[in-house]
Amino acid sequence: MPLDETPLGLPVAFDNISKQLKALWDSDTDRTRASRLNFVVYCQGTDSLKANTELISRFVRTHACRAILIGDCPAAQPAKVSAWIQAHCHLTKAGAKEICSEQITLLAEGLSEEGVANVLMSNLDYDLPLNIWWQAPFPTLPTSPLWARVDRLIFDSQSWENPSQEKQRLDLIRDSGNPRMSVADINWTRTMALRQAIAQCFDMPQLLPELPLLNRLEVRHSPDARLTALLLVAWFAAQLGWMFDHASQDEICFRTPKGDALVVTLLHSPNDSVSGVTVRSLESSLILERTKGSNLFLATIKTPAGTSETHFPGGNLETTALLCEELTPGPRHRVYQKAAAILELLIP
Amino acid sequence: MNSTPSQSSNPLKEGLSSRPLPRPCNVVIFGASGDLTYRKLIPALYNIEADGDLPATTHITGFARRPKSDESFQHELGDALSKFSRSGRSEEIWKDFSSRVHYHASEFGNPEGYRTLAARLDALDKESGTAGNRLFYLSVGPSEFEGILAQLADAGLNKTTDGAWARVIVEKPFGRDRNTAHALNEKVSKVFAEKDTYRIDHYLGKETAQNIMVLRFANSIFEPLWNHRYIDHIQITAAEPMGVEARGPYYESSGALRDMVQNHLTQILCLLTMEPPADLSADSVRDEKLKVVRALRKMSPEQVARNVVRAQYAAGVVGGNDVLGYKSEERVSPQSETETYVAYRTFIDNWRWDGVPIYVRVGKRMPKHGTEIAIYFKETPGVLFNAQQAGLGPNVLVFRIQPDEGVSLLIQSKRPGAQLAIEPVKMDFHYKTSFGKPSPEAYERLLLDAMSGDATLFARRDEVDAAWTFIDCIEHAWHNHPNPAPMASYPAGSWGPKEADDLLAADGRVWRRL
Repeated sequence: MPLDETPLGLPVAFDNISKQLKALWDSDTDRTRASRLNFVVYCQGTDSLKANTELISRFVRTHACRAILIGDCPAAQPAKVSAWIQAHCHLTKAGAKEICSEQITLLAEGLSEEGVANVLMSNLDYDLPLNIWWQAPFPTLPTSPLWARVDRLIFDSQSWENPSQEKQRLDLIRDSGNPRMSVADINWTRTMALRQAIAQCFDMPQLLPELPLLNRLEVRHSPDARLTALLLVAWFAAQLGWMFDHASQDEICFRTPKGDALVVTLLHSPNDSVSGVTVRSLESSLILERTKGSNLFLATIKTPAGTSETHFPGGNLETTALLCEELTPGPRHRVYQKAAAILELLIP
Repeated sequence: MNSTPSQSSNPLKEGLSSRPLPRPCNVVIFGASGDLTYRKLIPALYNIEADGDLPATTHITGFARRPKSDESFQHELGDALSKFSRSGRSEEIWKDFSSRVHYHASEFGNPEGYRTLAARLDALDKESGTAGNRLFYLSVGPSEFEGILAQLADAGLNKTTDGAWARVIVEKPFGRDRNTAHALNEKVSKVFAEKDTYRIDHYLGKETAQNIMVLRFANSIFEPLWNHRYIDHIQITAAEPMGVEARGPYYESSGALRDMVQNHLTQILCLLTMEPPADLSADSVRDEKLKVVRALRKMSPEQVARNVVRAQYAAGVVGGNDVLGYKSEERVSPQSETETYVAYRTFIDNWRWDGVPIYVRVGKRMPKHGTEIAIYFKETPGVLFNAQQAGLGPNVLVFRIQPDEGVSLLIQSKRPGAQLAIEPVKMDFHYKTSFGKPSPEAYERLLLDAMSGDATLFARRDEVDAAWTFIDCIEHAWHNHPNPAPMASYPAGSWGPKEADDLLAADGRVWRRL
């Protein structure tokens, strides 16, 4: 299918991008341009260019940036680079002032990894940090000079077709000698509201003593969110010191620090992503379920003292919202690494 | 169930937030039928809940004189929330939140009211597992503090067991001079330890106020210049177009100096001028702030006359509307000697700030609303580009505290063209546009901090004492000296009296126009 260029903006010659961007902003007498980061979206092929442009348009409402969208078609011939530019503008919540960010879209055809890296790096706003969302399988070897320049590598492990392979390649990129680079898994952020709700429930004094006594965990997830569910299980295991014992298709067995058996069951659910969790000990249980038609979790807590219900924010699972949350600084990196290490044991 | 766990034994909370998470607790608001509760405190607590940061078992109890049921209190708060919450109102969240809001009607001096409050809180502890953690918010006039504190102590509500905590948040004004503040501190300290006393100053909860420390100590380009060698002077302005509204009696006993300078502006000045703290703990930061307040130059009555201007607004026009003069306001004495405007020049007598004048002005019925700090750097030597007769003008770094929180820097730049013409240009950072999402309200941050036990943004007793020592010199010169400086006047809607302009003109400077 031919590429629909309309959403990509004004077509420009690759070696004329800077000049054309300048012309674009020169006509902006109100000086509405703002930027505090480079946000690069790397995808393969041309199918997702339109959807990614829409995502960038939403993203820049909260993150003023220079956005660069790259569609990489290494097998195409002849080798060439096509480029488009556009501005995304919106009114701030403050009211009057209009803020604009710029997007450069690049279609790289027939280029090597190094060639794509050069095309990208020649268009960065050089004083600003580089955040790149890698929407394709990671390269076999991190030979591209790009990796030395990345400040934050964003990916979504939910989309990994071969999780074990992707994890190994990711480790190679992380070990490639850029100490500044942090990794951000959108799939981890997808579990954020759930983890917060679970943690808050176990803050309740009647439930907190049950943490070391847990013996069952059930996670309900949509068919495409198995890795999200496993990441959540890995988080439990990492934080509570569970040791992996063995696993079958939908059941995973751990040993608690006391040596007791703990069984995890993954259950399919028609709802989006991970829609519910049940945690049990001998005497108590916590059932957390995303309530239909709302953005909340309903927690039902049963203890020998009685049953109570309470709501928690369910988080926003829309991709742009997850991306924005992921770009918020915080200390979650260490906890993610611990969970990711256990995830390796759980994925095929 | 099993024995009570320690307060820090929930490993699932690790990494969920970059700040200490609050513990489940009972929040009790004294003066719950006041404006602050409806406009600020409940919207702040609701928004903390909506953001997922309020522990799910936190209960809020309003304590006030008027008889009211839980339901009617919840209903009133719900109405107010729709108006004042920055995030609006979600029915599901409000339903959960309001089910944990209670009302306790009692006179502040009635022991029975506190006995029944204690029983109610104990029951909530058992029912919800709030573990005996209590946060008392005194949203009442200072005349009520002593009675409430004494009753809390008599009812044993300040006592805790098994690692639980009981904290008190005290609203300004904290005393009306050093002696009354000292007496008040003594009363508070008999009931709550200093570590459990949180003297709130909502200015410190604002993003830009917190950003002062970040800008100074997280950037290497500013700190080397942050001293008398490079800074010419500092201007701090807090202007508001409102008059005293319904607060006449309060304002009559306070005035601009006590209302704004002793607390808000002194705290801001401290963050701006303190030495780098050894770490970011509450006491390290407050130790450094205290050194600044102690180094503020104390003024004799004669120095007050030369360095401080007080004034009252006369009738005028604000925002296109005719407004009354201060003495004609409701419940204000026609012979009032209370200042609605104060401007002064002060110095910090330490190595870093030797000889740098700091000009502060605060006033009501000004043309617009705005609080900002402007750092004027020294001009470049009078050669090369600065050799022109008019001079280039200084670099100015401005922190806008409110509204439109942000930072700007004025720099000199060559104007395009064959001629050598130099013009100032402004680099401007706005929180709302750069970060896209609205900043939390100051009270949200401060309530979260108090629930988490972080006192960094609250004033410590010795800071309050030292600030009053500075203020008392001025108040003494105005009210106890045989030859006090006269009360100046300015038309409502103007930028203050001529005398304030003269104060700077004497040093060859002018006030900034906001």
